Amino acid sequence: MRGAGWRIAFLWGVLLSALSAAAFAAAPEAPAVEIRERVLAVSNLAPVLGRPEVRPHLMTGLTTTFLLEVAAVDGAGHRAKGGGKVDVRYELWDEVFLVSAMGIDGRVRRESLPSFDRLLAWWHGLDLPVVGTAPLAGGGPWNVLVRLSIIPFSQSEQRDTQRWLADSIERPQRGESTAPPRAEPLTGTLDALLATSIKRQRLVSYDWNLVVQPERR
Amino acid sequence: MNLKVTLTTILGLLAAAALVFFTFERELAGAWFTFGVHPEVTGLLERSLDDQKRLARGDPAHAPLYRQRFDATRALLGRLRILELSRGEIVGRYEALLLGLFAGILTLGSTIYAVRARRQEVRLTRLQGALAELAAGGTDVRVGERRRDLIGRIAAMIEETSRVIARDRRRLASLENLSAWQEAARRQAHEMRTPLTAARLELSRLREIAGHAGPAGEAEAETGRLAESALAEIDRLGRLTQAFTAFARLPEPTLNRRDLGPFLAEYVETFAAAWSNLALRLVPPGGACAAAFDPEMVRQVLVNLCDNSALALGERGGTVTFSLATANGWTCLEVADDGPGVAAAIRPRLFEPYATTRRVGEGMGLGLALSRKILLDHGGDLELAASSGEGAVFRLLFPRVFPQVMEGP
Repeated sequence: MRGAGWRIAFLWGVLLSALSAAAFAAAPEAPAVEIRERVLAVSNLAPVLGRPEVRPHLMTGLTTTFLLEVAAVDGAGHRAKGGGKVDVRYELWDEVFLVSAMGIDGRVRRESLPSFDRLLAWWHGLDLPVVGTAPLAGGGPWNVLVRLSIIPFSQSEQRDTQRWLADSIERPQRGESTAPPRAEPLTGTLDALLATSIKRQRLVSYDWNLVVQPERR
Repeated sequence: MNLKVTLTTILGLLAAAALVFFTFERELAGAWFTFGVHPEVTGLLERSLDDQKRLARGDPAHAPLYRQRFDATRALLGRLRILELSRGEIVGRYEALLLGLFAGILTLGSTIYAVRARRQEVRLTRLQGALAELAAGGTDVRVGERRRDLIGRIAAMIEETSRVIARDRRRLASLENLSAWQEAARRQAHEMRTPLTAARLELSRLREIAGHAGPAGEAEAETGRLAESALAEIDRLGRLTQAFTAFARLPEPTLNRRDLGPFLAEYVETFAAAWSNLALRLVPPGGACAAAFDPEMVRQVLVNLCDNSALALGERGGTVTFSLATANGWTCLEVADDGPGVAAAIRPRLFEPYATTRRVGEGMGLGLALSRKILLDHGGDLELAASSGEGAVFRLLFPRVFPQVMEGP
């Protein structure tokens, strides 16, 4: 009886250790956050593009959105929020990655990258201004929460699919998958069902809690 | 209906419906979705993209066409991938929508069912009350049901049964009353007949003696006149006892099923001149009005009624109208005159013996009692249907179903 108890405790221990190791291995590397000219910028983004839960989506031809949400709190409890967005779409015909990135400065950075390696390099070198630091006081370290969410398709692709499905169900006799979806707004029960069920959801999210030393003013 | 049974039934229905719904949705609807975004389909589409590209390189002249097809395939593939990514949401919403609709329908159905069960419970309670009232001897029971479903029909049956029982009770009471009067009449007739016979014999003897006493003198003439007068009075008493006897010894009717129409026509023709101040008229019936009756006895009833009308009309004269109808299991023969009607004071005891408004010597008031006794013996009744200053209407009721009869000619 006593021997059995030890065995169970040992098995639990092994299981917990394995899970902890897996979690540690799964955690992506944290990005770098620094303050430049009263703006909090994120750079050296974690190499999530090559992760198995992300990479297959990059190759589908759909627009994968990487959404950065950043919240900073200073020592006095003042808060500031912001974010940025990166869209990646693999153009299947030309076999290039079309990317665009936008921070709180509103500037859109567009690139056409011919390979996945180039994409990884571009991602690594990306430097996005994400939070204006004006509301934050200078004293003490700031706690910065960075959340990177991956959304597998864009809003226009979502709308296109909703309309296409509504047309396919309501007017199946048309029978041409190449026919353009209708342009009019979606109405009715079926449309409401489609509109509320086909919607963009986070595929996966990564969170990092970072500490930043503010610049002296 | 028991509330527990109702709730159990509703819950059972809900459980069965939910089971059917989930079986259908999970096994069939979900399978169609899987079929639509099957990996083989998406795999083939992916390979066709590569094919289009290779074809465009090998056949540059048609490259725009291949590109067009490539874009269409890519769009379709993208949509299917989005559907696959949204699969959980779509199926969840679809299930929630259908389940909500289903639950709504079931709730509505269950509510209607429960309300109906409650109403039926109330109606059954009313029926129970009516039956209790009937069992307690109540007459003219009213349930108050207007609908014609099963409960409504049972309620109508209870009401009809109460009416039949009430009528039978009235008939029984009348028969008992009349039987008592018959016994009294029989005894009176018996008591009167013997001394009357003796007195009549004595007076006859007196008249003979007075007739053979020698030369006629005034005293002798007076004796003869008195004897004649006494004999007339005794004759009247004799007729009185005959009437008592007729009432007391009323025979049972011999019932024959036959049409009342021809019988009435014959009566009107035969008795057309029987009353100098009466004109008899028959309203031709719309069809055959069969009844089981004893023609001699019913004729006696009609004569009694005509006698009454003739006496009531007097020298003014008038018309007696006969008509026939059928309603609610009865054949009705109505006898209507245009006389002064029946006095209100006598209506409540109109059919009791000795109930009369006539002067002494014009009748003893046994005619209507005797007539009603005849109709009651037929299984029917005689009633005063209407009476006013413009006339009286008597209604003879014959049951349409009377099994112990002989078929008439």
